[in-house]
Amino acid sequence: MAARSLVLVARSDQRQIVQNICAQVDVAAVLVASRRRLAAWPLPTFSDLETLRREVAVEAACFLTPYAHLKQDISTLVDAGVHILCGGPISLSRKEFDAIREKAKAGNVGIALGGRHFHSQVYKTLVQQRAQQEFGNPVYLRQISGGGTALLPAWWSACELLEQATEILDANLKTLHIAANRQGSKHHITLTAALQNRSNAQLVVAPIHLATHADVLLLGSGGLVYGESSYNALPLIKENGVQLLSPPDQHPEASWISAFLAQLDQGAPSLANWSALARQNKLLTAIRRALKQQQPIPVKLGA
Amino acid sequence: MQKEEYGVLLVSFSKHSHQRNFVELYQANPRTRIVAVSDESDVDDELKAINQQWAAELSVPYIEGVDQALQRDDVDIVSIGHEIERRADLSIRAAQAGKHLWIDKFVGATIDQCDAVVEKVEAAGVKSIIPSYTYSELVRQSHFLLASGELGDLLGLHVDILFGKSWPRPLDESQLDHPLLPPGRWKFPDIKRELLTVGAYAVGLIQTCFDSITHVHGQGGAYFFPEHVAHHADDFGTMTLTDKAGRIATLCGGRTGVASHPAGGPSTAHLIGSKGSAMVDGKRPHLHAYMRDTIVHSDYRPAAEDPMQWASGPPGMTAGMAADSVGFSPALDDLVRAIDADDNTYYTVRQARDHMEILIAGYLSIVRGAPVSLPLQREVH
Repeated sequence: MAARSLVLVARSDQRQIVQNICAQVDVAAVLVASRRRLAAWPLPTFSDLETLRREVAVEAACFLTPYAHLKQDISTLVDAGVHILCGGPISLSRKEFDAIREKAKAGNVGIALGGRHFHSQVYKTLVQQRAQQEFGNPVYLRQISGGGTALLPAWWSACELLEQATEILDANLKTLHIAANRQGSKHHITLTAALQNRSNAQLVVAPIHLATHADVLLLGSGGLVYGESSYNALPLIKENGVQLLSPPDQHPEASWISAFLAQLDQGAPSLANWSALARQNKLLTAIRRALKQQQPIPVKLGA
Repeated sequence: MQKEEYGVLLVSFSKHSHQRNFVELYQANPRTRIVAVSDESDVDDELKAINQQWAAELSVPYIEGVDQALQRDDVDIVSIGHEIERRADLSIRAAQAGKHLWIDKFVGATIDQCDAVVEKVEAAGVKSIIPSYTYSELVRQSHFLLASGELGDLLGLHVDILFGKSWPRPLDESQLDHPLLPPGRWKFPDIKRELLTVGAYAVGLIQTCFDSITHVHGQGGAYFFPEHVAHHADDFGTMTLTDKAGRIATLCGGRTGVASHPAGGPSTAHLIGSKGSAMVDGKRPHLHAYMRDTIVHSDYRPAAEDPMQWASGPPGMTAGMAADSVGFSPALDDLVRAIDADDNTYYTVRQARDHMEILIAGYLSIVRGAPVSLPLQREVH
């Protein structure tokens, strides 16, 4: 695998994730997509893309968070031939989607959206356990995850939880209801899904949660698989209180990024199909509606 | 009027109730004393025999005909452990006789029954308590966290309570698509409806942390037991609730089979606040307890005479350390305090009426396939 100059785009509160990635993958710089900069970070940090590009020859960019200028920054980077790995969907119209895809194709630029959870040990273990004959039929999945620091990160978390739910429960969505509320920028979203195989999921995006993974409870007709992020964390007991540290190998991001970079060596991955992105955009619209209505609302995401 | 000791009348030991669990409680409390067992004269022979057996064991009289028992001067508290369909009428008669009420879980089978109980009990000026929902370890720990202020404003509460009881068996697939039985009939000789039975604990917790519930969305359709499938009655379900302030709660409740959890089934609440999140496990604090013979030689099966394990607990691998995880003891103290001080208990028939309305709304939502607004329109039940 050829070495590439990689930049990360992250919020200041994603320091632990960035730190873990840097321990395993060569990172040239970080673009801080929030007002507060990463304090005392041992690699260059920038607050705007223009300055970063003047200082660093960027070959690939990994977006760990959505933010207001995500669409424009991705478009600019694709124009400049930079490969893009994005943790979640981009809010694009069909026209914008087609334009970016064409530009990427013409410039042999790789773009991949989502897929981080495929590298999560929790996800892999849940799928493995569900596949065991003893587990029986999937009945119910509860996941409680973080990400609700603002609307767009909450949307990314909701998309990831929903995608995981259909994969873990091994069926397509039948119905989906959303309820959402917030206090200031702190968003709290619940997705209640009924799946075609009669299983149900209750998925929660909390404003604040441990970074490593969600609290999960997966119920099958033959048993229960569950785990708590706090239980699996490393408790550090100090004079002024207890800190919970995430075990380093539990972060999926480094493996996710490495897989993307390896994929680039095989040929640039192209932007995902429009229908998946269209469904995710509908979810964002529904979350906005649920925030206003303050009651569970049905959502039709389409096939 | 304050008394040194309050006499308790045990009304019915129905197998669908927890009356048997209350006996030791009344015996242990220095302010209560069991004075008699009673039941209606039209109960079946099996129940009558159980009632008589309990009376003999407790060395108290068995009085056939509840009205006759209510005339006794030594009865101050009536402990109602009858079938859900009889509880409202019994509660009203007891209240009108000036007796205070300890009611097991549900005060009536319909909202109309619950409303009648609230009206008559409040008019009679007697004290009432429904002890099952708000004195447990899960609730106490949740309230402790909320009171700490560390979570900021509460945005949501997500509760998973499952009873790891009974033994799931293969299901008749051809019956699974049958619509769920509407709310109203809550039990059969062989089963109880489990979103009601188990989900009730989650709803109780949510009630004590939230404002009035305004919308309810329920989902069902998954099954563990052929008995429930045969009756088109739930053994598992989920609900989403929103309150007047826009807070959101979700819950799952059900009976899901033995040996699927080290403590007999999860009992957890995730509290989501604007400044932090917390998880409460109602089965903690506990110690892990692994006994070699229990694990290696385990051939456990629920008893044939109690297949749904209404009267027995599942095997577990934890040793609970809470003094009273269910909270019946503080509940009884609360009732005694309320009688002494002429005050309300923390959870009266009024809260229980709202509790039942939320659960009925959950069932209606499952049946209709759409969220339901509260208060319920009367014509639907």
